[in-house]
Amino acid sequence: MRSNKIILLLLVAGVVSCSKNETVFYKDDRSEPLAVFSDDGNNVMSCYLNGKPFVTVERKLYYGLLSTGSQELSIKLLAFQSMDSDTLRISWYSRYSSIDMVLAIKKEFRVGDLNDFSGERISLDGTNGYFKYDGQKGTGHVYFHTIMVDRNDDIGIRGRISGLFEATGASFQITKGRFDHSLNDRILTF
Amino acid sequence: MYKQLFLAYLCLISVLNSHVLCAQVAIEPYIGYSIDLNNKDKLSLFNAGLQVPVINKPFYQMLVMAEGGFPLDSGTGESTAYTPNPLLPLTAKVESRTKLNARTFGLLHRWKPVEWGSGNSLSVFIKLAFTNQHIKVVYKEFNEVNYTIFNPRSTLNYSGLIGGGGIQFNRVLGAGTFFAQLNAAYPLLEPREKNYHFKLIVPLSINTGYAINLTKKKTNEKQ
Repeated sequence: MRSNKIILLLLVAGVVSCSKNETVFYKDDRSEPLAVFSDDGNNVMSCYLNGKPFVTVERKLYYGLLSTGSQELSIKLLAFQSMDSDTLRISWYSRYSSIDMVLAIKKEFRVGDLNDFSGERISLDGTNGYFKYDGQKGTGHVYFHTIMVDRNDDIGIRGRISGLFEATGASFQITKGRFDHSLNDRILTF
Repeated sequence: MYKQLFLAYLCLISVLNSHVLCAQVAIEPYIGYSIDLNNKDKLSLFNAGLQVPVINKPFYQMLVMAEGGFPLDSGTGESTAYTPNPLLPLTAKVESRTKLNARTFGLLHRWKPVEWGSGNSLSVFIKLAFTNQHIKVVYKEFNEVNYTIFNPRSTLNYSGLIGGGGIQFNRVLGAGTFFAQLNAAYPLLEPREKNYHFKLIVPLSINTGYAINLTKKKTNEKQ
């Protein structure tokens, strides 16, 4: 009986997830409760959305048989054969909603081409890209402070992305947006 | 938890203070200078404090201490702010000033292992105290609507336990004792909120003071 209980406990321990939180949140004194604008791979995006704080979920790795995990960011390359350009979609996820930033990019865009955006400010005016919230499109600006991405056969994609953005749509306004993320194969889908 | 620990501390001190009524009463005011060892920003303090022995034996003393640290050097810094708006310059320089304040209240345990000459001695001591460290950051005015500071300095406020120790040179001078001490203290607890720029203060202090005996020893007199 005792050994059965021990086996049961071990099984439960294996099934129940242990988690690792990969998000580090440092509060910005001047824009509470947003996170600081940094370039450390803190895995957080925050902004004011219609005057209220929007903060992404924590990036968590779950270890266990019922592991699901959570991530605050996804970057996807969407290729369209019938169009002159492809699309890069950057999506940030909070607990209840998401904000998308969509950029038009050249055909045969590679992971390494992301590095060309580093240090650049881009205006998304609806033709070369747009922001999207709650089904509504809007225009705005994004500054990529740092993009450093590399793909290695052994370890896959590794890198970092950070920057600022602001956007306006028919029913939404985003101000003081700042993001700071580490990149890997789970985040970048190319 | 801090309130309960502090109340326990006060009870302990008030029990120990009962010894003062029976023992020789002395006070040890001092002033000094502290420099922070744990941050790149050069932060320093002017110290003013008071130590009062509550257990006073020839080789060992326990003292209650209270100290205030007042900002000496205001650290200045320059940060860069950025904007995503292409109609504005990409960067703007922003200046900041940083001031450190500290208040400490706790217990010292002091031992006097070495004596020489007429009235010279060397003591060693350890310290356990409650402290409040406050680093205030003030930025000069800038276009905050459009610009966001990169890697900003944030105000730090820490209240908690510190532990430390040091050495003290004593010399009998007139009716009292001159002393000079060198000590350092280290925060024992983690702050509740992480601070992006500053680590908790680790002060290295040089203090000098004068121990004054307030009561005379009772002498047995036959009348």
